[in-house]
Amino acid sequence: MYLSREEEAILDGELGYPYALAMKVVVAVGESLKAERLIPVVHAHVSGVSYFNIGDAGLEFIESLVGNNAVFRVFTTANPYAAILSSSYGSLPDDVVGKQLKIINYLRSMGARAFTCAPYYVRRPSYGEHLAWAESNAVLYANSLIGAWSNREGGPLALLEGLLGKTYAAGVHIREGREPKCFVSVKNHESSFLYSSMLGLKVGELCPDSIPFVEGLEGMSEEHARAFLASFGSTSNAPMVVFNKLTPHSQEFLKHLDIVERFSVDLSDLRSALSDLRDARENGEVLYFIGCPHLSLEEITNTLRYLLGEGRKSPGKGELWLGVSDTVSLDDETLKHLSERGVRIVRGMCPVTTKLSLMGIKYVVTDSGKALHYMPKLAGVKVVIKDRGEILKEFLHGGEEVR
Amino acid sequence: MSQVKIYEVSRVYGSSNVCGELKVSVRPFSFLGDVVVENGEVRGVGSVARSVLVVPALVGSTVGPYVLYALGKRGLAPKALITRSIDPTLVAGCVLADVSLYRFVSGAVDFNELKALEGLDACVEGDKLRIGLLR
Repeated sequence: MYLSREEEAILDGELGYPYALAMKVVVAVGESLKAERLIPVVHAHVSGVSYFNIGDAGLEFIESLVGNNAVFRVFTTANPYAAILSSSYGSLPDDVVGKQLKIINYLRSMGARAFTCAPYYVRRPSYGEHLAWAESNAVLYANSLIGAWSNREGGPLALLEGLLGKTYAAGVHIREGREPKCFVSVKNHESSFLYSSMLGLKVGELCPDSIPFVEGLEGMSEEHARAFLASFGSTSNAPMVVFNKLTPHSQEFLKHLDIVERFSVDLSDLRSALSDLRDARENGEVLYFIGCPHLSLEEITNTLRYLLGEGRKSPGKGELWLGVSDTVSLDDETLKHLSERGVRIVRGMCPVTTKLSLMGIKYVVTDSGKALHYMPKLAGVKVVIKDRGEILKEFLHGGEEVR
Repeated sequence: MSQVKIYEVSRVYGSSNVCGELKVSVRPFSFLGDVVVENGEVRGVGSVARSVLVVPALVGSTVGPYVLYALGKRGLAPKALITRSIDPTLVAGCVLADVSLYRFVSGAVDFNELKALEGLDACVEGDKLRIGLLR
């Protein structure tokens, strides 16, 4: 790989150990992918923040960087951390909370600006901008809906790229890496958060390793496209989806389509699969959870509007958690109203990557396909999937199932 | 003189010449749950410290590089890792732990056959992995 004089100097240790290590890793990864050079990025987004995901080994690594004065050299945000909050269910063990707090403080001391899985609401990238993002829903959002360019940087890669402000020129950072190889035609789409989410899981299963071109979702809202993408990222490794007439310049992709596989998905088939998941109820503590990925301000407002419309103020069994960025202010009037109605605002945290079973929670009712995919394994709970309105209604009616 | 088995490999990261005791996992193992950082043991394989470790694939991308790093820091990482499937996080982990990384050139490697050779010397020299009584 070609390195500039400045990059060579960093590799030789001019800026110190963390930067030399970062350069060594990024160059090695780039060379394994046949990248010819490094390119600057304007925003890094770090994943692997929950203690449950990275454990003592990850904490030890971040500690070693901080101990050697590592500081991010570009705008950097980080994924949410584990849900270290006290609740009616109980709390996480003290040692887990202590270690999680250390990770948060280390990342803050390195310059992390926010803890959220929706960094596009903290700093919206521009079209054509190069990023080093690690959270799959965010990467998919940036590539597919904004036309920014980011690979899915796993493990410590985005962290190290944040130190350098650079990434390797391979994958979707080059034009050929953005070409769809899978074609999916969607029939009878019903635009709702839940159905878009379930559809994302299905399309991801059909195209596990390649970028799909998806037709039949023209006119889908940004909110629903986001739900689709978050779920798609759980079942596919692809960093991008080209939505017909939704992805910037989607028609350009049509000009040189080189499709390897073609599929058709009828939403009526998904509806029957969904009814099985709706009935997977368990006895024991229930948690209602909305906000995977973290909610936009508009979604937060809509949630309050819905609850106000229902009138009832004091819910019974089960807490309702709303996942939002830690940059959302608790002084916000909407959040205050929600708190008054017994809603927990879970800022900067992610219940999906939290071992909720340690808190005694048995099952979670959510509208997120991504949560459905990951929570049984990561959170140790059963998942029931419902539409957002149904979840809010059930929460207000004290856990009674409302159809 | 005993027989020497030879496999073709290609270097992804690290040294072109590495020797160590052959350790083999016939199944992909996970960095989350299958590895004990404190003693460098991999479930079903035993200690992999300073070995030439052969495995079809590794899973657990988020934590994987960190576990390799922690093993490296304790002097318990393998000297070399040879696998069929390479992804960026595995490369990152090998750099952090100073583990040389190679890919099998052929997709049709018989890992049970390799398992039968476990404990013998394994040396990577350029694009060849030699296994036998070499030293």
